[in-house]
Amino acid sequence: MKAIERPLPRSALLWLLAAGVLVFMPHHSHLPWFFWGMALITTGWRWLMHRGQLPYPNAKTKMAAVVLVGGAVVAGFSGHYSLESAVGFFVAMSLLKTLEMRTQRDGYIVVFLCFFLLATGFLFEQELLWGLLGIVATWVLIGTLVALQLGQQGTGAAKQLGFAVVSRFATGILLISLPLMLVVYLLFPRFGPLWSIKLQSEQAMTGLSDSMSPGDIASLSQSDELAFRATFESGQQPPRNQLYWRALVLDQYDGRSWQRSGSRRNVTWYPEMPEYQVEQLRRAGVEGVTRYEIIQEPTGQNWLFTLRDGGSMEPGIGLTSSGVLVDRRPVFQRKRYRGYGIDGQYARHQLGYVQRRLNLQLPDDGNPRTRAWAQQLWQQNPTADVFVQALLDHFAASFTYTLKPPVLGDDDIDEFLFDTQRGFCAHFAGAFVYAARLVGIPARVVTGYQGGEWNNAENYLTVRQYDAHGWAEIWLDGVGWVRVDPTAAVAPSRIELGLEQALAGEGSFMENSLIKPGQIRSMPWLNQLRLKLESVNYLWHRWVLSYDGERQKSILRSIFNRTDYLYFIWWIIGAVIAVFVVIAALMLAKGPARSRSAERRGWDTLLADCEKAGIAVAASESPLSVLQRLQRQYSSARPALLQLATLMEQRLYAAPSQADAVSSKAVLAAIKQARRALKRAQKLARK
Amino acid sequence: MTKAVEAALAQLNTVILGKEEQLKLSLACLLAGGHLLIEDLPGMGKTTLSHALAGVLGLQYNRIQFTSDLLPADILGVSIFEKEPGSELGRFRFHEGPVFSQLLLADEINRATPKSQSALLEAMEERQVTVEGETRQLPDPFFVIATQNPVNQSGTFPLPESQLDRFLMRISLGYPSPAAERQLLEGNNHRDKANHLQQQITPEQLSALKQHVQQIHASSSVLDYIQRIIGFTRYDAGYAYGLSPRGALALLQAAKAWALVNQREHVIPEDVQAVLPAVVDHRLADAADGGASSVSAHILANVDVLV
Repeated sequence: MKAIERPLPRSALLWLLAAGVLVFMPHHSHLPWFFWGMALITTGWRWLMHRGQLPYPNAKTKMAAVVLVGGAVVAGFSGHYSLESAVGFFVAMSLLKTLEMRTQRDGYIVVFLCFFLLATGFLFEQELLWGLLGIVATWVLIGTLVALQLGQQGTGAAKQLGFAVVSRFATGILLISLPLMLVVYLLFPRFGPLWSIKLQSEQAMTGLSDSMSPGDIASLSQSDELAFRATFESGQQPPRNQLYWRALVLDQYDGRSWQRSGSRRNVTWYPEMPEYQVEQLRRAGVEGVTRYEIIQEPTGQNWLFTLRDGGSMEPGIGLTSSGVLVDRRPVFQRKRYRGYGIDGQYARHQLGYVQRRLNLQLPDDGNPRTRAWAQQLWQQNPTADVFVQALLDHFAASFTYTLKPPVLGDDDIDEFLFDTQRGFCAHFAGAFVYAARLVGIPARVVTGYQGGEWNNAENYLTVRQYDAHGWAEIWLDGVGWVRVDPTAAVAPSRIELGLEQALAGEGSFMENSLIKPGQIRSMPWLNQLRLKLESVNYLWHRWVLSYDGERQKSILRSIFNRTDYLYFIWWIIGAVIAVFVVIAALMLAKGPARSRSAERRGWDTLLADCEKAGIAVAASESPLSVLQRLQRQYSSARPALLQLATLMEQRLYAAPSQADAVSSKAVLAAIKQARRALKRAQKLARK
Repeated sequence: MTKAVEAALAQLNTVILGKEEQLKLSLACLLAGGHLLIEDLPGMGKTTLSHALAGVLGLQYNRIQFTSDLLPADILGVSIFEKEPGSELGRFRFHEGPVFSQLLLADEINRATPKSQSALLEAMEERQVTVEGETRQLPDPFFVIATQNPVNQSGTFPLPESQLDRFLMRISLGYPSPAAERQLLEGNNHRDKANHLQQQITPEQLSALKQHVQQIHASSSVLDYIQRIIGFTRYDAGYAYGLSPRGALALLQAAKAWALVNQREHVIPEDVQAVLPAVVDHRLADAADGGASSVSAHILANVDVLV
C-alpha cells in the first residue's frame, strides 16, 4: 500500500498544544526568559493556523526561524555548553516543530518529543508538585495519542472527537499502566550514576562557600532555600544547642578570610573509618551517640554534614583528619546518607605536631590592637578555659548581634573588637579564633548549619540556608576539640530559638522577601498548612526521590528476603512471558474469540458427528440446508431431523413472539434426538 | 393473497418455459419495490418476460426501445405549442413521455447514449421527473424493467456502476433446457400469448403485498449474516470496493420479498443466498476480477452462516 500522509486530526491539535505547554513548564526555571515568549508565539501561531487565519510557514520562513532561534539560544546561554543549554536548544527546536506539524506523522513526532522533554524536565524539578504535573502531562500526552489515532478513523470529513471520549480513553490507559509503573519503579535496578553530569553551574547554587570572611554567612541568611532534612534514630528532637551541623573546618587565616588547609585532603574512606570508635564508646557506656539520616539538597560541593565527633558508615563517604565528612564526588544530585555524632565528653587522642602548628597559624602582622589586648588578657587569665571564658564575657558585655554589620577596613578584627562591636556569627567566630591562636590555644573556625525547624507530625528537622552558622573549636589538652560558639554568648536566642527570634528586634531577617516566615507563623491556620505541605514534601523526598539501590535492597530484603535484583528481573521477565504464553494458549485452545451459546455448541456436536461419518459441512452452509441434506441421505432419521429443522428455524429466524416460544432446552433436546437418530441410521446404512 | 402470487407465477410459467427460479426472482424484485434489469443475449425471451410481468400484474405499461439516437425528451416528454381551438391564441402543453406509466419496459437500455440513460435512471431513483422547471410525480407503483445486451456486444454503452446500483436485481435467463426448448418449438407463438395474459394481482393486492414485504421478520441472526456478507465484500474479499449501504438494504429487501414469494413470514439464510447472485453480482462485477458470476459464489463459499 502506498504511504498516505494523513492530515493532523483537528481535534488532536488542542491536545497537542496543551501538552506542549504543560511539558514546557518544568523547564521554566533554567531557561532564559525569552523562551516564554517563544512558547507563546509558536503556540499562538499554530492556533491561528488551525483557525485558518495564518498560512503554514514556507521553507524560507522555517529556515529563518531555525537560524534566529538557534542564535538566540546560543546568545541566551552566552555560548556555554552545558546540560541547560543543550536542553534549551532541544526545547527551542521542539517548539519550532509544533509550528511545522501538518500531518498525523508530525503529530506523533511532537508527542514523542514532548515525552522526552517531560523526562528531561525532571532533571531540573523534582518536587512533589512537579511530579503531579508530570502525571497530568502524561495523561494529556496519552490523550493526544488517542485523539491522533481515533481522529483518523472516521472516513472523509474529520470526525470531531469529544473531550469526554478522549479523556475517558486516556484515563483508562493511564490506570491500566499504573500497576506496571509501580512494579517497575520498585524493582527496576537502580544503578548509581554512570557519570556525574554537572547539572547547574556552581554559582547558581545557594550554600556555604569554602572560605569565610566577615559578612559571608550574613548573605546566606536571606535565603529560605532548603539545605537538608534530617531524621534521628531516636525519633526525638535533640536539644537545639547540640545541633551544630559541621560542614567545613577552616583552619587557615590569610589576614582577610578563613580557608581550608591541605589537611582536608587527608581522608579516611569508609570502611576504614573508625566506626569501632562508636562501638567502643557504646560498650564503655558513653551516653549521647546521636544517629541521624540526612537527605541533602545538591550543593555542587563534596562536603556533607556531621555532628560533633561524627562519622558515617556509608560507602563513598570519608572522614577528613579535621573531622568533617566528605563525599567522593561533588553532590549534584539529592543525596541520602546516615551518620552519627557524639555528644558526651571523653578523653581523646593527642593533637599531633602538624595539626597543632596548623591550628596556631596566623599572619605575621596586622591587627596590632588585638594582639596587645589578647596578650594582656592572657596574662590576667593564664589558662585556656579561663581565657576563653574571659573572651566570651567580653563579647557578651558590649557586643551586638546583627545582620547589618558596618563595613570593616584593613585591620578588620581590630575594628570589629574595639570600634564597631557589631557583627554576625562570622565576625565573632573569626575574632574568637584569632584571639585564641594569638595566645597559643589551637583553634579553628567551623562553618555549617545550626538548629533547624522541627516537624512534629513526621519527626524530622528541616534545615534551611538561613540556618547557616559559623563557630569555633578550640583544643584543650586532655579534653580534645571543644566547641565554643561566641555567638551564643552575644545572642543566646540565636542558638535556642533560631535566627529569626534572635533578630526579632532588628527586623532584618529575610527582609528582602515578599512574605516573611514570621508573617506566616503569626497566622495559625496558614502555618498549619505550611507544616502539612512540608510534611508531604518530606515524605515525597524520603520515599520517592531518594529511593535508591540501597533502599530497594532493603525493601526487597524485607519482602522477599533477597537482594539481588537480577533474580527479580528474571522473575519479572519470566512472569511476563508466562502471562503471554497462558493468554496465547487460551486463545489457541478457544479458537477465534467468540462467545457461543449452548445451542451453538450443541449444533457443533452434531456437525462433529457428521464429520466423523464423512459428511463434509462447510461453515458457509446454512444449518437448514445441512439438515435437508441429511434428511435426503438418512431417510430413517427424517422425523427427528425435520423436528430439529423446524425448531431451529423458529428459534433462529422467526419473529420474536414465535422464537421465544421455543426454548433453548427444546432445541438442545431436539439436537440430541437428531444425533441419536442419525447414529441409528448410519448403523442401518452400514448393515 | 399468497394465492394470487402463486397464480401469477403459474401464469408466467406458461409463457417463459423452464425458468421458474428467474420468474420468482423477478416477481420478488417487483414486490420489493425494486427495478429489474434483465441481461441476456438477444432472443432469449427478455422482452417476453417483461411483457408477461406487466400483463400478470395488470399494470398500465409503456415500452421504449432504446436506440443510439434516443433523446431524453423521448423518454420524459416534451412541451408543444398548441393553438386553442377556435382561437388565435395558443399555449405550451406538456405531452407526457412514456416514462409516465406504472411499468416501463426499457428495451436494450445499453444501446442508448449515457445522456438518455441517465434521464431514465434519475426518474427511477426519484420517482419523479423535472421537465422545464416543473416537477411531475410519476404514477404509483412505478417499476422499470430494463433489458440489456451483454456489454461486450457491439453498439452498447455500458451502464456505469452508479446506475447499475439503482436496479435491485439483475437476472439473466440463459438458454432453455432441451425439454423446454422442444416445448417452445412445438407450441404456438409465445410472445402473442404474453400479450394476452390475464391479470392475476390487482393493484390493491400489489400494494398490500409490497406492504407485507416490509413486515417480513429478519432475525438478528439473519442480519448478522447479511452484515458478515457486506463486511466480507468490503474488507476480506480483496475487491476494489465493497457493497454500499444501499446494497446492504437491497439485499435485505430482496431476501424479504423472496421469503414472501416462498410463503414464509421470516427470512432464513437460504433466502439471502437465493437472491444474492441477482442482487450482488451486477454491483460488484467491476470490483472483482473474476467476472460477474463468480462474485456471489465466492461470497457464499466464504461467509459463515452461523457464528
